Amino acid sequence: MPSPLLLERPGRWSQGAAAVLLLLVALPAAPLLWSALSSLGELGSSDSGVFVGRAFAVALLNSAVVALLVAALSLLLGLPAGVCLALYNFPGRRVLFALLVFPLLVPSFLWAIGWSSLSAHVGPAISGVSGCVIAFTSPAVALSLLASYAATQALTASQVDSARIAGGERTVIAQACRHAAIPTLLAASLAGVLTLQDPGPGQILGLKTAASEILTSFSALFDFALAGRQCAALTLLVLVITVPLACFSAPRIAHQILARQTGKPRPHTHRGVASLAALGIGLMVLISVFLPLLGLTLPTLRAPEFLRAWQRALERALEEVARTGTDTLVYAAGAAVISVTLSLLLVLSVGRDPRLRIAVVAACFILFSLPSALSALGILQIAAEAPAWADPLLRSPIAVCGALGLRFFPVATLLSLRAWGSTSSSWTMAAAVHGVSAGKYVWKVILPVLLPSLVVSALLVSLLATADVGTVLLLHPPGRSSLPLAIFTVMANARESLVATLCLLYAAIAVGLLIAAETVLRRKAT
Amino acid sequence: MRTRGNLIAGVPALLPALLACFLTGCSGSGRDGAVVVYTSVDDVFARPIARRFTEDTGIEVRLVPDTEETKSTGLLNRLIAEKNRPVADVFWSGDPVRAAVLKRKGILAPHHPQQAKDLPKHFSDPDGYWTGFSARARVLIYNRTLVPQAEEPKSVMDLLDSRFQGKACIANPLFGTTSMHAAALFAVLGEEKARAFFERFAANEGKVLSSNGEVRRRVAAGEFAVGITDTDDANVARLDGKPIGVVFPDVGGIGTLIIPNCVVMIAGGPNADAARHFIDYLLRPETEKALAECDAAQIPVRRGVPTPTSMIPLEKLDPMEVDYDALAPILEELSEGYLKKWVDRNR
Amino acid sequence: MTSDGFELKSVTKKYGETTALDGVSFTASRRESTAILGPSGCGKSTVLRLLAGLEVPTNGRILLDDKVVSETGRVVTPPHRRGVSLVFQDLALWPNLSILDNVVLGLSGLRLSKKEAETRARKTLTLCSIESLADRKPGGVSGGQEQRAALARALAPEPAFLLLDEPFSGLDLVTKKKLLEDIANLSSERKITTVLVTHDPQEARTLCGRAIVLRDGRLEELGSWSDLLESPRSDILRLFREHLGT
Repeated sequence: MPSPLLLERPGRWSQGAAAVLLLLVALPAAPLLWSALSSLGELGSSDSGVFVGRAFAVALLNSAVVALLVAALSLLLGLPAGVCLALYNFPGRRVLFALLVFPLLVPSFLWAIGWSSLSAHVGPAISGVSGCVIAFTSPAVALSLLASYAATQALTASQVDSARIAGGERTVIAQACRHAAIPTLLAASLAGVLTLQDPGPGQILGLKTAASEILTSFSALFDFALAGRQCAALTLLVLVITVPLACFSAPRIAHQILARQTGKPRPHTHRGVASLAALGIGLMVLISVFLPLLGLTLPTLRAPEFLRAWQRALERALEEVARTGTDTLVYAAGAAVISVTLSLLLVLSVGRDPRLRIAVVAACFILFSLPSALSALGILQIAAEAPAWADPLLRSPIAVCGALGLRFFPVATLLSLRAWGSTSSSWTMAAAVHGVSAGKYVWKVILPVLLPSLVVSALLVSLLATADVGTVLLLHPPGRSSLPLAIFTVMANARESLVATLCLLYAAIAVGLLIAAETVLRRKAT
Repeated sequence: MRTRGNLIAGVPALLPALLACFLTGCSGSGRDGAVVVYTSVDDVFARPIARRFTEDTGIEVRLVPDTEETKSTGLLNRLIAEKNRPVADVFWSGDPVRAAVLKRKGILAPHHPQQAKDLPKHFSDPDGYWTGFSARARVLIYNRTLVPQAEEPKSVMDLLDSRFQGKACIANPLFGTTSMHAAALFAVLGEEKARAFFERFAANEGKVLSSNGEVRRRVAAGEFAVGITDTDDANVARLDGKPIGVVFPDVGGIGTLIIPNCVVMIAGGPNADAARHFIDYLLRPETEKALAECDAAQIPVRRGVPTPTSMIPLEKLDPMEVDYDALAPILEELSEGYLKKWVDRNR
Repeated sequence: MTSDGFELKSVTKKYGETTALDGVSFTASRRESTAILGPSGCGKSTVLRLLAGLEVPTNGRILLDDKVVSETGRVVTPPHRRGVSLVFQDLALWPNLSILDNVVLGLSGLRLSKKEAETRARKTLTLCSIESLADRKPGGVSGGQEQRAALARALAPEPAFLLLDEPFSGLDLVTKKKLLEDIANLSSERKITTVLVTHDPQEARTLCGRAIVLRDGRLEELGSWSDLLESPRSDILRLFREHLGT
């Protein structure tokens, strides 16, 4: 009978299991990287323009500039906002929090369309680097805000109170910001890195970016070798940024992840600070969420015979939702199941081994930062060269769900590690003493305790997977498109009113699902 | 505990349902099967036609559109890569040159649809590998607030004029209809003059954008004064109330490039019968009428098809004289040679 | 059998560079309950976990009734076959299970039928005076009731040894006194040998007939209370003797 103590002190097999699981995530990228490496010998020229294309070099520079600016803005805005939301109570706090986080859950090109439309109707022109920075900032700030909020919540009530006694609210905020700085910096850097992989805003706002060049290399030129070299160049840039960051911050994050929370600080009602916080956060919501949403609404309001235009657009939009709704849900649910299952297996392998924990956190950060096109193109290459009997696996929705599941597996892992941290090693020891087998212990105690976190993890992964257009674009079987992909496909050449209505409908559905999930989870908690 | 236990126990029950969705497609096949159609025609225009086909015949259409930036070239290369094990049954191309390329590569199966009898032979392959219908034209669009009508451009050569220095734009000539236009210029003007056109365009600070859609958007927004795009893009801008003017260029000169839609049957496609049904459906006069009346404003090539009053019929245009079949090798050579280097230098 | 009960022979336990126990040897006989005393961080809880088979000795051997149950680098007899139960310092009640289900799951090692397990669990809850709390979750009862629940789970399998790791911390005096009395009575009725870890000599003296004192991972002194209090060597027992006025 396997002892539950295996979960606390797994032994050597755990390192192997963790390595296998992490390699599984990285495996689909292998064929493409191999193509890239083996094509180097055929190049002959030392001109870097031949290695990746001169246009790609320019695109990479553009993308790097956008990434840096987005990361900086995200840190500047997300850190204080997260701290204030965690520490202070003010009217509308929960709603503002939800609105600031909302951009994370819809495709980034939606914000780009909104800003582009707003500037076209109301001006001034928003395009190029500045346009992309504005479009990416909404979801980037959301990521930093979540990290800052979670880090501040990890402070104990006594720590906050002692800072308050020492120097008032200014000291509280300063100390909280210092405490949350590293996780928020990490999140801001991740947000910046994620912009490198996203082709949408660049295409809409007229900026050559690395991601759209890679998509073009594959989609138009079907040049796996070139796409592979470009992916490798982008991956190298990402690794240069993320590896030092991951090594620096992983121990701290790993420690915080397994810290059991006692006495969380309660939001404080301090009129002065709370009012300022409410004002500042309200302004952020207005600029980052309402303005682009207004941009999405304007085309329909300003269209000639706008009521008819709106009605037609809504009919078409609902048809698209009906056509793509099922597949969108299938991809989202499939990605969530695969992600959460793999993450649970990894977490059970890692246990509480501190070194393994740090290695996994660092690996997750690096894996998540890698271009999503790497895996998707790899699967495509494997599918193209595989025999016909592999089609039900490689040229089917299973491939899409698998690619998306592997893509967001690091997110699920970090959440699962956090959830595992909420369990106590003494529970496992008690199970061992009383002769409860490992399987029975996991089924009867661990899974039920972890269930709310796993549900949240699944929900987050499904929303992030839905917003990932690039992977679906490359891998979806004929006739099995998703709603964001449908929007992405028509955004360039459909009427503004249709594009705007589709985007608004998508945003409304995402909000509806979030509210439903939050209501269900809250009811189960009570 | 019981609720959570049910929830945990419910997960394995979900998996067969998910699996069923994966395998059957949930949306359900039509009673007479399905046909896989790759199309480089804009999704908003192609999908209503496909839907009507399904309603009329019961055959499900699995449409695979392309993104604007990689229009037609993306799907072309995908069809070439899938040659040994085709996924598609039909390729509905927005231009005939891509179809000619596929014919040269042995990817197509000949098909002589009944409906093609009254279509002009000039727009179809004599061997029956591809059939042309409903056309677009390459047009000049200009921003009316920046360019008064009296100074509107009349020829593609006007993009080289100093009055449009830094204010002219075209889409990437490696993709889509712009690539066909580039090949047509090389065929009609000759290599020397065509190269001169591109070099002078770049010297005049002309910009290369990602797609025809971007050309339309940015000329309409006033970021550029003039650009080259297709009639369907220009029409969408007009319907959106944008301040743009449209000119059919080079009347009395080299003429306006007419680009018919093209439909081909993929050799060895999994659903040959359904493919034939779809091709026949697409080539009906009713389809040309529908494409003329929708936002695409595609010009019927067949005589006698009623068109909206705002549309200039084909017989009133001055078409560029090109052999579409002969454009295919020119396009392939340019895509791997001069144009690729030019784009790399100037994007 | 030369000794009945547990015997530690030069047991050392290291966690990385830190030595929690250094060459500790003693006997915890079945005939008399033993208390393990010492300041915080001296290795008391480590001893309990080693006795339970939850930790592996870095060096040395642990015997139970003259049979090796743990030795250098390995656990020979797993925890659930040693006839021990352990009440943890944080009680380790499984939060998602009701108190009854906690006790029932705690009987897993005995391979009873579902009905038998539930019957025995209810009897034990009655014994510990918390039968009315059977359907409540651990988070929904008071501190003292949680202690009794943990005790019930430990007693249900009818262990030979009851290992208690500071079970009275955080309790008020009245509750602690009542619980001490109940444990003493139950141990006596059921012939269970108690090994109690505590830093309170009063608790230790109430429940156990002999004590060992640890300091910095080493054995400082051991013996019966009369011997220990006659000439205490450790600070903790010297202070205790002063407090008693003996």
